[in-house]
Formats: sequence, C-alpha cells, structure tokens
Amino acid sequence: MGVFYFFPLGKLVSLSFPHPGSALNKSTNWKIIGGAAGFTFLQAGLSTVLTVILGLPAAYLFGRFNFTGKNALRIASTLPFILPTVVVAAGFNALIGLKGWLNLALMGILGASEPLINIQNSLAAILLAHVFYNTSIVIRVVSSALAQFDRKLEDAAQTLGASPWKTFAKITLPLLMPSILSAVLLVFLFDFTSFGVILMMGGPRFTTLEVEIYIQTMQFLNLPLAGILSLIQLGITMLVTFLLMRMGDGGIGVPVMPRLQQESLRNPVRGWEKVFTSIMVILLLSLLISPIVSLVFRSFSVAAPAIGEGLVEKMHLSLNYYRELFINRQQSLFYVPPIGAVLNSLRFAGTSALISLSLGLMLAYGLVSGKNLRWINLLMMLPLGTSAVTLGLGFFTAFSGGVGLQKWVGLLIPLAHALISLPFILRVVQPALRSIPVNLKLAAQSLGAKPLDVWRFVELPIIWRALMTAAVYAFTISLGEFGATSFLSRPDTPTMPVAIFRYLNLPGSSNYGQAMAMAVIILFVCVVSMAFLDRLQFNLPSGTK
Amino acid sequence: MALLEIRDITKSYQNHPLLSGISFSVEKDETVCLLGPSGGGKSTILRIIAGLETAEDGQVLWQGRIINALPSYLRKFGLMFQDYALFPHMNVRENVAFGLRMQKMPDNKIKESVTEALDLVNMGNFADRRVTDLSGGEQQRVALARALAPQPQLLMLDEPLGALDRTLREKLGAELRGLLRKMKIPAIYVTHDQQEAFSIADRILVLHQGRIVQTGTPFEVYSLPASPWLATFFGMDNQIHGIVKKKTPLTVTTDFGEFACACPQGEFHKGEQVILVFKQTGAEVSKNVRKQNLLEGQVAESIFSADRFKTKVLLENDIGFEFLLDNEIKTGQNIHLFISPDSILCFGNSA
Repeated sequence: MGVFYFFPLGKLVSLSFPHPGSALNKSTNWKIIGGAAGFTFLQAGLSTVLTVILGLPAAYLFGRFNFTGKNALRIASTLPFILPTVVVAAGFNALIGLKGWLNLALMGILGASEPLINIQNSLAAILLAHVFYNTSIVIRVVSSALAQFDRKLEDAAQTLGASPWKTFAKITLPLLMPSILSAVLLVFLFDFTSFGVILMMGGPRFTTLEVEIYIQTMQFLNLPLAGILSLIQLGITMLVTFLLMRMGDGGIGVPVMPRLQQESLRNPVRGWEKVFTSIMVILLLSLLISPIVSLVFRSFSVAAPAIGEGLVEKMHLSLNYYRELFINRQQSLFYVPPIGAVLNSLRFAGTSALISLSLGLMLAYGLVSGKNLRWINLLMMLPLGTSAVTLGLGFFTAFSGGVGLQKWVGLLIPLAHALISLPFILRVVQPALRSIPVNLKLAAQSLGAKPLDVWRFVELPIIWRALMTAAVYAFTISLGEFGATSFLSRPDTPTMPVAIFRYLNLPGSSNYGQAMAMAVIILFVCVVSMAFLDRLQFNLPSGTK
Repeated sequence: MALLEIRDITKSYQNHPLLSGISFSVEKDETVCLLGPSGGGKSTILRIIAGLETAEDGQVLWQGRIINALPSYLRKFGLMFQDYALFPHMNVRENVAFGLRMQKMPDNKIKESVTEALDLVNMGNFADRRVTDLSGGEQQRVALARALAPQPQLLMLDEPLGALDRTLREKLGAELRGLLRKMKIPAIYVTHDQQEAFSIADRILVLHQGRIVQTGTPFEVYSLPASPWLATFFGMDNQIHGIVKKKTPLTVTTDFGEFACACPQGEFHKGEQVILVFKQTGAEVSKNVRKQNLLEGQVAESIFSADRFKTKVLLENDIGFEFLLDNEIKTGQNIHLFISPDSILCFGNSA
C-alpha cells in the first residue's frame, strides 16, 4: 500500500511542483483547469439533481409499497452496481446511439435516411448514463431507511392534528434527511469522478477534470498540468469522502425499532398511489433494462446495409460479431486478434484478484488484531475517494520512467486494479474475521491444535465465504476497470474495456458490433459473478462500480 | 347519548378475521379498559377510532355523528402509543408542543401549555432534554404529556405501561389513575394485564377472538367470568366436568363427588353436562366428613404467598388444583378440603 498508493501520489505532487512557474504561469493552463473544473462541477451537479429527482420517488416506491414486479425491479436495480462503464456506454449506444435501436426503428418507420435522435456526444447522454448508474444508490440508501422507518411516528403526528402534508414535512422528511444527504454526497462523488461515461458518452467536446488529465497525459504529454489537475481532483474527492464518513459516524439515524420489516409496506390502494406506482415501475424498468437488452440484441444483429440506407427489416440475427473477435484483420487497431483482449482481461483479473485478496487478508488480520487502528482503517478507505484516473496517472508517472512501462505492464495493471478493489475487499473480509470469537481459537488450541491447524480447521472455514466473495469482487472490478487501465495498457496488451472504447470510436459497423459483442461478454461475466455472490448470500456494499 | 359509540366494527388481517362485530360505547368522564390477550386486535380498535385505519364494516360515532370519513388529524383524539413514538429529532419540549403548533396556537400560549403538561407528569425539569436520552419511564411521561397537551376530546392509551419493569409499572399506573380521575377526560385504555385493567378501569371489556366476550366493572368481571375461557384468563384453572343432578339448589355430580354451586352462569336442566370452576380462595381444610363440596387429595407443595399459602393439591387421576390456604401443610399429607358453594362457578358445556 505504501509503495503502490502513496508513492505514486507523492510522485504526482512532486511532478506538479518542481517548476510551478512553468505550469501555472501560462494562462492557457488556467483556462484549461478552470474549464475542466467548471464542467466537472456542472455535470456532477446536474447529474446529482436529476438522479435525486428520479431516485427519491423511486425510493418512496420501494420503501412504502408492495407491487407486482417489485422483485424484478429490485434485481434490475442492482445491475448498475456491477456493470462497468464501458458496458453501460455500449448499452446506451445500442439504444439511442446513431446506430442504435431507437434511431434504426424511427428511420424504418418514418423512412428517414438520417438518424433522427442525436444525443450521442451530448451533455444529455452523459446525464442519462449518470442517472442510470446512480438512481440505484438513492433507491438503496433512502428506501432502506424508509422501510425501517417507524410508521407510528407518522401516526402519532396525525393524531396530534398534523395533516398528511405537515406530517411529511415535519416528521418524515427531517428524519430521512441524513440518509438523503449521504445518498446525495455519494452520488455526487461518483458523478464527479466519472471518467468512462464522460469519455464515451460525451465525446471529445466535453472534458471534466478526469478526462482532461487523460488528454493532457496521453495526447500532450503535459504531465505537470495533469498532475495539478489530479491534485485538485484529489482534494475535492477527499473532502466529499471525509464528509460522507463523518455523516456515517455522527448523524441521527432513522429510528429503527425492532419490528416486522413488512409493517411499513402495503399495496397501493388510492387512485394516485396506483398511478404513481405504475408510472414509476415503467420509468425505472425502461431506464435500467432497456440499455442492457438493446446491447445484447444489438450484438447478435448484423446490419446488412451501411448507415443511411438502414432499414430495420434488413437486420438479421447472427454470431458474426462474435466470430470477428477471433480474426486478426489487417486494419484492426491491435497487433493481436480481439480475443487477445479478452484473454488479457481475464489474466489481469485473475492476478489482480490474487494480489488484492492476499493484500486484503493481511491488512484485515493486521486491523483485527491491532488495538486502536481506526486511523489505519480510515487510511485504507482512501483509495475509495481517489479516482481511478488519478491512480492511473500516479502509476504512469511513478513506474514508467527508466524501466519502461512495457516490462511492467503485466503487473502494473493488476496492481492498480488490486488497489481499487482493496477497500471493498476489506469491507467484506474484515467483518468476517472480526466475527470469530477469540474463545473459538483458544478452544481449538486447548484441544491440541497447532496454530496452523487452528487457521486451517477453524478460521478458514468460517471466513471462506467472505474470501470467495472478495475474490469475485476483485475479479469483476478488474474486468470492467477502465480509468486506470487506459493509462497503463499498451497497444499490444489491451483489455476488454480499452478495446471496447477504441472500437466505439471507429467507423464501420463491424467495429461497432465487436464492441457490442465484447461488452456482452463482460456483462455475462458480471451477471454470472453476481448470481454466484447471491448464492453465497453476501450483501453488496453499496457503490461498487 | 353516549359520547363515543362503536357499532359493529369488522376488520380482517391477511384474510383472517381480526375483529368481528365490535360494539361498545364510552360515556363522559369514563375510563373504559379493553382487556385481552396480546395480538387480539385491541390496538387495531384504537387505530380505527383514531382514524389511522379503516374498518371493513361498522361505524364510529362521536356525539351521535358518524365520523368514519373524518381524517385522523381532524378528530382531536389523543393516542398514546405502546412504544411512545416520540419524535427523535425533537427535544422534550418540541415533542409536547407539536400538537399545539398544529393547532396554530400562539407561541406564548404554547409555552404555557407545554410547561403545564410537563408539570402534570412531573417532567418539568426535562423540557430541554433529548428524548433519546430519556429512560423508559421518562419517555412514557413525555408521551402522556404530548397526548394531553392539545386537550383531546378523548384519550386512548395503548399498553402505556407495557414496556416498563414491574416496580415502575405499579408506580406509574397509580399516577396515571390519579391523573385520569383528576382530568375527567374520557379514556380508552388497552392492556393485556388484568391487574392493570382492574386498577384503572371504570368498566372492562374483555376481548377474545375478535369479539367482546364480557363487559362490566372490574369486580363484576372477575367475580363472575362469563365463560370457562374467561375463568382461565383470570387465572382460575381449577376446572372439572360434571352432570347436573338437581336444579334447585344446583347440585352437580363429578368424578370427585357432589358439589352444591351458588354461582350458576345460566339456566341448567337435570342431566346437562357442565363445567365447574373452583376459585382459589374458596377452600378450607375440613375436619368433619361431609356429603357435599368435599375434595380429597394429597398436598404436592405449599408455597408462602403474601399472607397465605398457595397449596397445590393432587386429586385422583393426578389432576392438580391450586388453592390459597391459611396454614402451611406438609408435602405428601392427605387432606380434605371444603369448597364453599359461593366460590364455585358453573358453566354450560358450550360456553
């Protein structure tokens, strides 16, 4: 952790300050910084507002009503937690992109020769993807608070003469405020550090701090400026993370009474309740499901004509795009067949899972056995507030010099991924370790077990599930990671997300289709992992991307 | 005209009938107690009266007017919840002031009323405390003050002492009784504890399986329970079957002899199957041999309880009866007990 987190970040700091004059005196630099920071706040603010506007009623729906399709909707709402940005970007592209279903259908119906909806590469597309991602966070945080909310408080207010509106304003809302606020902060944090979504949904016109860091590094090789941008970014995300943690510590929680969970749930009865329920269910389902469904179908449908003459009838189902993955075409961007990217990804993911699991296990043991190591615990959560791009840049600057990135790439990418997944791993493994009573180990010892036997026969079986869960997490996080990887991958060792990003930026329906096919592969692995975790019956910590 | 009248209230829960045809009324200045086992729908009756739930059938009338459609916040009925439901984001003063603020009372008058209500429950010094810092008993008082402050037309209390330990329950029960008498406010009090009900109620309604099975003053209800179930509910477990031998004076033949019974619950004819209930208090050790009202058995245990000895007597067939006797009797001793006809209840088999 010291070497691979603080050293790269330290390098970033030193990078930004050796010649502060050279980087800061140029007014163009300030313009770049200001512009990027301004847009970052703007899009994050707008995204957060929109997310809350949709998320709060949705949370109310989940927290208060039983309705048909609730379970399906609940499962659908976990999707954004596990889907990498590239997959979501590909999904929205398949739905509303220039070559997406909606445009193909409209062109077919209206006979138009041009795509009618063009929100690709627009702020709207960015906002849409962010709303897709983060509505689930609001739903999760606020609806669980609502579901545990003691309905008797509202009843009491009514018997004391408060009208339903007054009851909501004076009792329900104030008591839900802490959870709403922490949801808002969390959403803002994710929107603020969003990278893949901006890059892939916004196109070249929009640059946030994250994207600017990427551009300055990869295109202009202006590392000092990238470093400054990173530090600004880091400062703000740390602040938000700190606020979040403080809220978790000290706020007045929702009064949780020991009572039946179902008590606060009921069927919609009144007219407005039924209308509200139906509208919300349709809205949420179309938001959450349609990009995924379009993605899957699009990956199997080969459009015969070029765009412009496109008619829906001419499309047919085919495995062509998947077959293409195995062929190394001359004009392909890579020196290896696309399937190579799949293999790279799997290899990196495996290595990353191994590294982060052993690292996480050691840290967890250290934390559990240590006396008062709360600050270390806090320290370990820092990578959570550090954006992947900042981490990628740190790695890039710290380890690329001299040795040459190429030699290290096999280890650097898994290492970066391991750092990103470490906070999640700790969150899973630490409670499991802590749940083992000391007496249990003592009892085993008194029965004649040597220390290693104690570990093998007592501890390991108890934490086994947690370890499996952690490993699957690390694996899926690595598989979908884009931000840090985009700095560290070399042209001959692309990962799937990197390949998807490049394919989406290339013309031609074959490239497009291959991006779709690859995205479906990641989607498939993610869904299988989730099903597996579900079997293990471990709850997801919120906010896994 | 009754102040509050409940007519034929019916309500089911998850397709099982919870309340079937509940009717009763509350008069001015009266404390009515709904007594019954937990989970019997007592709280639901209060919630229906308060307007927090709707009945499937039946009416709620206030001063002769049907108020079924009147929303809860316009009814001006105070309800004190079982676990108090104090607003955790407000302090004691704000909690008590809530109802007054909803009435748009001016601030200075609110302050006055809150102080008055808090003084009434001896919580005057706690006005600025957080409700989450209060003990159970203190929370109970604040909840009572909050319900009383807006001067409700009717006060409903749902197991108000249920969450407290026994000593506190007795102390606060006495205070509550005094307060209700003093305030002269009509009240409905819900509890599963018969002692609590006896000590506080002017009138008791016993609820069983969604119906009111007995109504009366505490004395009436306890001394003459209307069914074997009620007798058991009040702790009268000494029950045996018998057949009526003679109508007047009522004489019943049982496996343990003949018993004259002075407390028949209904009319019985000769040869009818009946159930006899022996109250714990009606037995005394008998030296002379009698023909009637004599139980013979062996003492299984004799435990001191208050100023008497709770004595378990094993009859034939290993049936065990409990009686309160004046003196301790050694375990294993055979005794004859005379059962006073006044302490024997007789029920029809179907009751």
